[in-house]
This record gives sequence, C-alpha cells and structure tokens, in this order.
Amino acid sequence: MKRLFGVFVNGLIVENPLFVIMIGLCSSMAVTTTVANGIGMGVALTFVLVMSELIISLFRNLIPESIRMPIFLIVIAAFTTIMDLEMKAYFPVLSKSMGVFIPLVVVNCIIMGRVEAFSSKQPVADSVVDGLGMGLGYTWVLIALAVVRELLGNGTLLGRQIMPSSFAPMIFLILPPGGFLVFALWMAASNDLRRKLLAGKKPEPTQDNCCTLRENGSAEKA
Amino acid sequence: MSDLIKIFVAAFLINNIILMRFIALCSYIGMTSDVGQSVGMGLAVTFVTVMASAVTWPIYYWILKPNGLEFLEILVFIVVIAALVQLVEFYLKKSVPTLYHAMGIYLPLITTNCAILAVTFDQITNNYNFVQSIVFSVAVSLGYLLAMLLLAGVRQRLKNSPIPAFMMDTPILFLTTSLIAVAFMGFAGLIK
Amino acid sequence: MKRRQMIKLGLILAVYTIVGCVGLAFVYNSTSKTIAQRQEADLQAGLREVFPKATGFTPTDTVKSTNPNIVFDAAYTADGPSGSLGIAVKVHGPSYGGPTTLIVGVSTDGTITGVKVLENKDTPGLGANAESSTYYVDKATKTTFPGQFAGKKLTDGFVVKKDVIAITSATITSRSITNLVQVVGKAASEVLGIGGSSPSPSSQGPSAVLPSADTVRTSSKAATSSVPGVSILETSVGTKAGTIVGASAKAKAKSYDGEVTVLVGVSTDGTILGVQILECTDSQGSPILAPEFAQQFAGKKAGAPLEVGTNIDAVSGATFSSRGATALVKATADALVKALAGGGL
Repeated sequence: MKRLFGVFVNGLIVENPLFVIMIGLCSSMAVTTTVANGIGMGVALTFVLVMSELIISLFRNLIPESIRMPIFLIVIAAFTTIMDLEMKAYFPVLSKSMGVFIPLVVVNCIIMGRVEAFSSKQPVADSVVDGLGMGLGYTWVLIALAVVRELLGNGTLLGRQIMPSSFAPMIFLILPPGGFLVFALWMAASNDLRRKLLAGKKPEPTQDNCCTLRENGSAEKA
Repeated sequence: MSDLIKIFVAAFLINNIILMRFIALCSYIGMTSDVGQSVGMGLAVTFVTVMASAVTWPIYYWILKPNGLEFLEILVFIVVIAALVQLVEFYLKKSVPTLYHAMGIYLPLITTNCAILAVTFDQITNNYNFVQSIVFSVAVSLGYLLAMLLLAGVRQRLKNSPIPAFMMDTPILFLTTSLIAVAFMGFAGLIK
Repeated sequence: MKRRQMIKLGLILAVYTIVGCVGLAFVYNSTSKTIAQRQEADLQAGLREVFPKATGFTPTDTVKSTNPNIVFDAAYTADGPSGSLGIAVKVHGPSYGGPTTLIVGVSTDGTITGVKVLENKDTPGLGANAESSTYYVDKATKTTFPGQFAGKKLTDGFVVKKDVIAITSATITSRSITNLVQVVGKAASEVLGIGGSSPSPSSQGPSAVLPSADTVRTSSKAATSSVPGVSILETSVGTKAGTIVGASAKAKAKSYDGEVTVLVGVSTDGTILGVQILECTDSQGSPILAPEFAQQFAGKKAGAPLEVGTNIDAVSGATFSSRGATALVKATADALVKALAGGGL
C-alpha cells in the first residue's frame, strides 16, 4: 500500500510530468485559456494514460522487445480514438474547443514515456496507480495555469463572472504569449520551492527520454 | 495562387506552430541548446512533415473516407508516420550517408513529434486539397525551423547572461518565448 | 533475423492491429449515432434560434453560394403557420484560424432574423469572442457580435467598423463572419425574390457616373476591352443637348477569389467622371464597396496609369480586391476612350 502511495505521489509531485520532467508541454498551454478546457484535457489524458498503462502492463509478457514501440503506438492510438469519439458524443463543446489537441494526445510524451519506462516492466496495480498519479499531476498543473489565465484574462472562472465589472480583463494572458508567461512564472515558483525543499541535496537530474538526445549523441528512442 | 500564398504566410508566421499554437514544445525546449542541433532537427522535421503530408492525404481521401473508416484516422496516421520515419532512416543510412549524418540522428525523435501529426490532422480539418496540403506542410515546418533557430540563437546569449536565480533554467526559456511570441503577434495583420 | 522470427513478429503486430481496429469499430458504432444526433440537435437548436416562430424546416437546394470559398452546407425554408417565413442557411467559410460555421436566417421581407455561430477556431480571447454569449459589442444593450445582425436589413451596409461593430482586436474574424452573412443574405434574397440585396447604386444607372450628361441612352455599339478576362456588360452614352459628352460601361472581371463588377463613366476628353463598385464577391472584399474607394477615381485621366499604392489608396484589409477593382476600372476606361474615339456610339 505504502509502495503504491509512493508511486502515486511520484507522478503527482516528485516527478511531475510538466514541471519536473517537462514533457507533454504542448497541450498544457494551448488548452488552458479556460478552466473547463484544462479539466477536460486533464481528464482525457488521464483516461488514455491509465488505460494504456493498464493494457500494456497486462500484456507486458506478450510484447516482443523488438516490436514494442509499434505495439505501444497502436494501443495508445486506439485509446486516444476512443476518448476522441466519446468526447465528441458526450462533451461536444469541450471537444470542439480543444480541437486538434485531442488527437495529439497520441503523441503526448507523457504517455509514451510512462508506458516505456514504467508499465512495460511493472505489475498492473502499480501501473494503474502510476497512470493516475501522472495524469492527476498533469491535470493539477493545467488547472493552476488555467485559473490564472481565465481569472485575470477574462474575469471569469468556469465561465462564471468573478471579477467586479470594473476589472478590465488582461486579454494578453489568454493569448499565446500570455500562456508562455504564466507557465514560466508557475515553473519558476515550482523550481524555487523544489530548490528550498531539496536544500543541500542536489536534485537528481531528470532526463526526459522523448525529446532530447542522449549525452553520447545517439537518440534514445527506436 | 494567391490562396496558396495566404496559406503559406498564415501557417509560417501568423499561426506559427510553436509560438502561436504551442505544438511541438518538447523538442523546442529539448533541442535548442545548440544552433547546429536546432537546424538539424528543423530540417529533419521539414523533410518528414512534407513526406507525411503527401502520404496521409491520399490515404485519407482514397482509402479511409470512401470506406467510412474516418475513425481510424489517428491510428492509421501515427502508424504511417512511424513507418515512414523508419523507412527514411533505412534509406538515408544506406544511400545518402552524408545526409544521414546531418539529420539521421534526429529521426528517431520525430515519430513522437507533435508537429508532424498536427499537420496531417489540420490538412484534413481545413479541407485542403493536395497542393494546398503540401504548401501548408512546408510552411508549418519552416515555421517550426524558424522558431527553433530563434530560440537557439537567444539561448547562446543566455548562457553568459546574469539571470535571476529563480528564473534559471527552463523558466527563462519560456519567458523568452513569450517575448518572441509577442513579436509574432505583430504578423497577424499580414493577410486580410 | 530469421525468417520464421520475422513472420512471428509480423503476426503478433497484425493481431494487435486487428484487435485495436475491431475494438474501435465497436466504439465508433456506439458513438456515431450519438454524435450524429448531437449535430442534428445543434443544427435544429440553431435553426430555432434564428426562426423561433417556425413550425418546421424543409430542406431546400435552391440557395446557391456565389463565392467558391464559401460553402452552403444545408439550406432550409422556415415554415410558419401561414406559409414560408424565410430561409435559413448553414454556411462555412474561411476565417482567421480555420473554417467558421454559421447558421444565418433571412426572412421573406429581407431582414436578417439571426446569426448563430456553430463553429469557430479563431484565437481564444479575441476572435473566439464571436462565439461567446457573454462578449458584448454593445454592453448597454447586451448585444453579442452575431446578435447585432438580427433585425438588420439586407439593404443596409455591411462594412465592418462602420455598419457592423467589430470584435475588439479581431477585425479579420469580424469581417469573415460579416462576409458569410452577406453572401447568405444575397443568395437568399435572390431565392425569395426580394432583389436589391445590397445598397445597389446600379439602380441609379449609368447617369450617376456621367454627371455632365442630361440624357443617357444605351449605346448602339458596345465597347470592347482588349484586356483578357474583362467582360463589358453594358455600354451607355451620355449626351448633353444632343452632343455626346461621355460614355459609361458596366464591366466584370475576376478579382482576388471572386468577381468584381464596376460601372465607369468617361468624358470625351478621356477624364474619368465617376466610378461605382457595384459588386465584389471576394471573401472579405466587401469593404471596397464603400463609396470612398470609388470616389478616388473621379477626375483621373483614363490614359494615365492607375495603380494601388501610387495614386489609388487600397481599402485597408482588402488590398487584393482593391487592386482587382482598380485594374478593371483602368481596362474599362481605356475601352471607353477607344470606343469614344472610334465614334458610332
């Protein structure tokens, strides 16, 4: 139980996909113009992540090493499509406003990264908990970004007017440059906190295996 | 002709895939610590994006759509792109070793590059015909290359600049990107 | 790698693919009905919003778009208790960030009954405000951007920032939506037989561009233009006390992505007396219909070069259409000068 809790917290905070490992960034800024979109994207990604981790962990002994990548891709793409179709059917408004970022979940490095690094080697329960932890870790960051952007950029939260009518919305925050700015500030705060918590200890350099070359110049992924 | 120019300018500058649409940010942060690397990655992405666009368009309109299989779009596109990247890698390694050394090492990173997949989905959503799709894919990937190069250039200077401690590392990169994006917003008036 | 091994791997991959595809087919089957129902419900709700009093909607295919970039997805006649109330069209056309889809209702008396934005991919916070129900272009009356079209006559002006209040910092979105509304309005009014859909100065006829003439008659010989693509539709001659003082012609040519029609009047000494831009079907080309643009031509010599940027100012936001119209005015004026010199009008 304690182990599972550790796995959960790992994704939620310690190795938070967005702030710490810095993967899956694309959707995090694009959809966080409103809190509703942020929550929608978070839940969508968590669903695909948990289901993919579950299936791959279940079948991990039936996946030949040499063709694991194509199989991972097929599994992830299948769950992304399922999520896409369900969103279109039951949450058409959310689905419309997130547009291309829903199908792009398939190449979200969080999923590929976790499937490859975790669930292809770990038991089912751990994998599901890891998926939940990482998914929620992603979701809370999206909500944090979206709250700032929607509240200050539009004066509303979840579509309800919060700021007094005399407040002039800072439209800049909803626009693309504002997305980068809010993310930079949140990340600076998170890094600062981590530095203080880990004072003295040098934090483990976390290397994402999705978008950068290895030290020796060869690519990580096959 | 003018609609092609319009598509090009819009996709290259106005709706720049990284700075305005936040797509392919992973590689934008991960691959810009060195100017040479950013150009290599940018060229590899350009190459594969255009090929992917040229391959997925006929697949969608000649195979998926006539058979009512549009729902397989995501699955088919990602598998086709993955296979394509593999083929390109094999081919380059065997036939054009010089090119392979220049951009081959980036190819494995490209399968999961959002930009390529985004282009293939967008050309379908925007109802582009084949020629428009190709122009669109060239413009998007050149926009990608431009953004990569811009950040790589700034990063060279950041290395020797005094940066406030709490902004060290990645936050300053996003702050820089925010400023570059402000500049890019100015392109919005380029087409009517 | 051994061949046997290869086949084994291939089969494993195939099994995963097939299981995945079959699974998706089941999900697709179960969701596609819901998705179709949703879209139908959205459409019905939109139609009801633009024609709240209608008892039903009958599909019709008589309404045709005049611009190749603007597609009418579906058109309906709104049936009321006593006959048709008007026409509603689901239309999509290009906007800033991708296609925009609207439902536009036009009543039988030539009024826009309402505009509903079904889909819009423009920038959140700017262009996307077109879809927002809480973004008001007029805060006092709580009018949304599409809301301002309700009750607007088709004969009213449709120039953004003049007749239509634009969304702040989203002029392009405002223009493209206005243009879609206008194209639907025009097509619907033709079907409904209202006519005079735009503030058509052609009703004043050629005399408007031949101010010095007291009588204007149709010419016995039509002017012809040597410029390819320019077709001259009608030629008229203006006389004062029996002598010819000038000639006018209505001409049409391809412009940016649609067509532009102009009326040009030229005096016997080769001065352009007046120009009217009668029609422009370019997407976002409507601003050049503003009289300020056409007025610039008056007094210019037909023989001299007319060029946007040098002696003609483009209408901002419609540079290409301005160029197209200017080229056409020039070609028409040249043709008229030639015809006047040739005599026999």
